[in-house]
Amino acid sequence: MTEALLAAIPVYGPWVLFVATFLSCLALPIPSSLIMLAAGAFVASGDLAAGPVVLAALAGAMLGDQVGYGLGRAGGVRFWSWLTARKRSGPLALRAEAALHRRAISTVYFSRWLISALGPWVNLAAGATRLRWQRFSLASVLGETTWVALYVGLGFVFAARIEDLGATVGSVIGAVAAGAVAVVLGRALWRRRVG
Amino acid sequence: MTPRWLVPAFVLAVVLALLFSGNALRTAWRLDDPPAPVEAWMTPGYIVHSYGVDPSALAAVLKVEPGSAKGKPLAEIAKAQGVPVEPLLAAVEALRVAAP
Repeated sequence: MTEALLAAIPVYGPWVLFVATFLSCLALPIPSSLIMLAAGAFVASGDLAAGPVVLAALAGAMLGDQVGYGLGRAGGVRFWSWLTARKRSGPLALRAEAALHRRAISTVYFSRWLISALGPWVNLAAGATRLRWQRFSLASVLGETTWVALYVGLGFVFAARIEDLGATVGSVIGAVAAGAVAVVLGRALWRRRVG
Repeated sequence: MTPRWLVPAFVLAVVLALLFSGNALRTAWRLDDPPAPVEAWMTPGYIVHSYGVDPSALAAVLKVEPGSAKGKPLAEIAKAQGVPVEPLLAAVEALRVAAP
């Protein structure tokens, strides 16, 4: 599976990147970090041109963010008002909304590349809680640019080790995401115990 | 008032964070190992770039013009020549091992 995917990258180039980053912004399980590492490696080996690779990955990611935000806005607003009206989850959801809006730019920015497993959910939440589109889009563009530059750059530099690097990076991403969730939930629990 | 799912969700997140961290350390260790053998997804350009194999020697083994197989993985080259990829991989691997 991974072999066939890697073999498709020098053949179809930018298209693979566009589709992969687009779908992974919608929470589909696509190994887009490995795909971008490999694309960087094929740029280093002279098989692909850097410009189209970077632009395609960026375009897919930005479009995916906009679709996620749009879906949240279209379908999530009613779900969110239902959730915030509930007695148990309501206060927590409202506090999450307040936190998201207070640190909108940094939340969206860091969930593009550092805590990237949370990215699709931040997109939906941003749309559902009516975060301003301009703020969302600014942070999305900055974050996706960081994401693409980081992975294509790592692939370019460490071309010979992309498979091992991809496995390591995937685990680091998982650990950071689970750690971030643990910190948020831990703080909520702590505040309830103290207060 | 605390939602019922808060404690189990917290425990799950901590367990997942530990598991992923362990996995990351385990795979990071492998980055120091000697490079992996040649695989069918690699292109001639990638093999030259990553393993320091001589381009003209590689082209001769693959029976292609030097520089003509840009963007073609070994799997595609074998398919175009109507040969199985495994002997091709073995020949390129022999070349890689012999490379300085």
